[in-house]
Amino acid sequence: MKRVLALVWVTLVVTAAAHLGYQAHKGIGLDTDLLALLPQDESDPAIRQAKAIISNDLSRQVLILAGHTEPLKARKAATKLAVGLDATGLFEKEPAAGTSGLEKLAGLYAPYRDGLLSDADRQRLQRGEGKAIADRALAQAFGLIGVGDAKLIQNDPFMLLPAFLASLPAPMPRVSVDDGMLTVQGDGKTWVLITRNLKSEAFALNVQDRLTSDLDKTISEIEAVEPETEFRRLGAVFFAHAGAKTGMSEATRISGIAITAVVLMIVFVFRAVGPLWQSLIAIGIGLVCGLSVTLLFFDRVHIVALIFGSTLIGTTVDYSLHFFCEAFGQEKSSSHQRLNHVLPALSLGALTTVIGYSILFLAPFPGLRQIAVFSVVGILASFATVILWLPFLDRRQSVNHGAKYLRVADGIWRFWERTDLRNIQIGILVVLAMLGAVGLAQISSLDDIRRMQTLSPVLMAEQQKIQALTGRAVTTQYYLVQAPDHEIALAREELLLGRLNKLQAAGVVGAVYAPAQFVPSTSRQRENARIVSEKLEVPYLTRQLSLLGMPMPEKSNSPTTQFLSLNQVVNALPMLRNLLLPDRTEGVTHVVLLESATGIGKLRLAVEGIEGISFVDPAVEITGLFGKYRRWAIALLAGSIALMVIALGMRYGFRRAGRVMVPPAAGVVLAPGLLALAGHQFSFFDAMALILVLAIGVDYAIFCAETKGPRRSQTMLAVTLATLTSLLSFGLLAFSETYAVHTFGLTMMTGIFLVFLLAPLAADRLGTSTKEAA
Amino acid sequence: MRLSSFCLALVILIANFPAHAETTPVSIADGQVLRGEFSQERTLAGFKAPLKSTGDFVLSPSQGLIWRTRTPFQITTVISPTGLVQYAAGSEVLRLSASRMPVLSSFYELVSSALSGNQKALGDRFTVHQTTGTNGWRIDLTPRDDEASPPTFESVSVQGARFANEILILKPRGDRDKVTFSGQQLSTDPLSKDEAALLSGQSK
Repeated sequence: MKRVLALVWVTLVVTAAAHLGYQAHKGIGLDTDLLALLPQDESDPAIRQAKAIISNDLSRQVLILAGHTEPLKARKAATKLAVGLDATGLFEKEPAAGTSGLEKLAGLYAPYRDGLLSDADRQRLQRGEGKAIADRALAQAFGLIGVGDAKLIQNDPFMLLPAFLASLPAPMPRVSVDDGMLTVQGDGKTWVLITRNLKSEAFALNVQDRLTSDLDKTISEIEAVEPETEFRRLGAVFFAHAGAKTGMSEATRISGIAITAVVLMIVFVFRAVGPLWQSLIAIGIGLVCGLSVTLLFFDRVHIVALIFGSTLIGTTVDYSLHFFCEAFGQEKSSSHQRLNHVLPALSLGALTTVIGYSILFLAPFPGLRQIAVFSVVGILASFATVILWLPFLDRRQSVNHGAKYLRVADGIWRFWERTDLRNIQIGILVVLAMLGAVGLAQISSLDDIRRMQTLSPVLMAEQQKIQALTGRAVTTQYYLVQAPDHEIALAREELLLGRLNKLQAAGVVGAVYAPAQFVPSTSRQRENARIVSEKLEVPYLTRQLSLLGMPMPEKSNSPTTQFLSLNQVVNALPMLRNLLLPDRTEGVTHVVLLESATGIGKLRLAVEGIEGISFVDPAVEITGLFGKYRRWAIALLAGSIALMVIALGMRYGFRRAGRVMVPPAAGVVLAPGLLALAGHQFSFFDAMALILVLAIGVDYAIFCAETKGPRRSQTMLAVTLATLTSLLSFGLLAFSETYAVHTFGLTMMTGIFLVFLLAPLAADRLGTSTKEAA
Repeated sequence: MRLSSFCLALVILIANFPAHAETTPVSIADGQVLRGEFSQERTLAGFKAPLKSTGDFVLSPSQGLIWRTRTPFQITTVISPTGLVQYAAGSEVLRLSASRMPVLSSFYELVSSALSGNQKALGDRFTVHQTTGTNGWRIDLTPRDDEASPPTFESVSVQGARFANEILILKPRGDRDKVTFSGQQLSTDPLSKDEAALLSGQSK
């Protein structure tokens, strides 16, 4: 029977390995964005879709500056750079930003000029200051500068259209168009900007790799000719690339060190190679099956799930360790007999650990579900390997050395057992409880994602320099405008813009970018045409034309003015394109972007009373989500404990089950308290760590509870080794650069250590060893 | 470019003169101010008659240029290191800062180097053709081919004797500007308070 099961298991393992090999050949999709761990927003699907598109759009933007003390060399470098970037084929085609672009734009807008007025001009006309506008046009016609195009004046004697075009918002105020290229001066150099949009998502690994390597190659080619050229880059794709590199090297490092530590420990303690490679088989199969099934269900895997998965090494080794430690001692036994000794403990341990990890399924985080699948499958696979294969593989009869180890391991048990030390024992428990209570009383929580994500410092520094140079200060907050059609959307934006103008004057917000600035609503255009006719043409047109020496225009035959709509200009204005989201059947969606927002509360209020506009603050929303799920995780923890007590109760009876749960529960409760005393703030990731402390800690408690008197040293040795491996693998996490992983590791270490100290408390009546048949 | 090229040509040629055997070369030193009157005739394609204006100007090499049109109505244009400002009938109608138009600050550097005798800067941007005659001299400038932008004017020619007397700018599409100067004087008197205020960028 056992052989049959073992063979069945072989088949399953081979299938899993084959699937994993296939996935690896295809190229495993790796997510590095922390936000991908978060669940979907529960709100309106249209809003969700809009936010996804917006963040995707923002993430595809790439900005590179080429700087040199000599402007001509900067321009040459930028041109070469642009050619190099376009040659990668990764970017969308970019319309030329230049004077020629401006002329083309003027041409596009010209037929509709009757309805177009800059905000300032409209206000001037409303105040009756038409003459100032007339004089301004005359000044340009007669004055020193001169007018670029005579045709312009002929059709537009008050030159309203150039004023309107000049009032269109520019995303980088310190940057201007100099001879066709975006240029800015700063830091003693002339900088020329190249902006592009990636065609695909910035988070696909192969895109990041290709872009970074092609870009670096082009830059080094330029620097070979002109070594003093300086380059600066900005774009989500670069941050993601750096994050992925760090994450992957970390995962490899952690796995590497964990495995090495486990290997050394096993070889040292067992003085045989057998336990080593057999343990490695059990661990390895656990990892392979875990990853394989995760990819089967999820198609892509998140880097955080991979890093957690690598810590399975510390967990799954517990089963093999317990099995192998049984061999210590004087009697000879067969491996199958030893397995029978530990089977109840291993089974119950695996069951409770699986319960602990499965709880993660209840959390609506896709990332956590990946971790849950990975871990549950990994645990079960390791467990199956230990109980089905290892007895066949382990040929040893007994292990004669190691009495020293057994005595040392037994030390902790002996400590708790001695009745004469009862006062000290109680004292220790009381001190721990008090410290924990004090810590818990002053515990504070951390949900702000910006504190949790560590972004490459080099790239952050470059970003700040670029923002200082260009004056670019785009914030993450924005307004989402929804309406049945574009005209209504534009009208709503105009209402909002009216309120935002006041806020701008008060310094609450900097620049605002709304589609209605580029294309006023038809009703606004109609009103503009009326104001121009009433307050400008009627009083001043005759004078204007006579001074300019122009004849009166014949009344045009089309009585109706043509009105501008979005379609006519959207292709020529990338800024506008970014603000318009794809149409849905129910209506249209626009975005209003902001810069330098300081008074978030006032900005939020600005939409009051305007239908269809909502203020979106992604960072606050994410922080809120993290807080919510931190509380979720604590609830899951309580639920987990309850389930485990039930499971254990079926074997031990509820009273004893309660006592068995004391070490793991104490670990879970005291760890955050003690860390809080050290100033550590409790975040969602600490809560996740506690769930695992529980799952692993209950293993130790069960091993201790199940062991009969004479075998308890072997059990304690196993528990000690298991603790050491867990401390090593999770302790390494505490060195991670990613805050989430670091805090997870810290809580794990503290929790596991506490459980280890208290584990013997789970045992049957200390001091009385039940003699049962071994 | 249209602004810079015109102003550049204008200022440099008022201020920096080729050596001539019969004329003392005159260039403006620090502390000196050049004043004079101008008459501008702007011909725009499609317009029945050219736009004419007259006025006076004040040029100080380190501080800038004030161009005061008096007829047919008052327009004052001020170019200084901070940028360009225009006033019509006393109130401000246009303000361009040098940071928004980097061409203004590079133009300014060119002007100062030209005024100190650096002909090379002129030669970088234009092809210079110089002729001298009995009555004076004449310089023809054509802009060099710049890959990035189409030329904003086709040629500039300047005639003068002691000072520049006439500038003719030919622009594409048949537009042209003709500026005639008269009554030029170099003085060491300081600028008037109003003039100094204009050049420092404060509104009148």
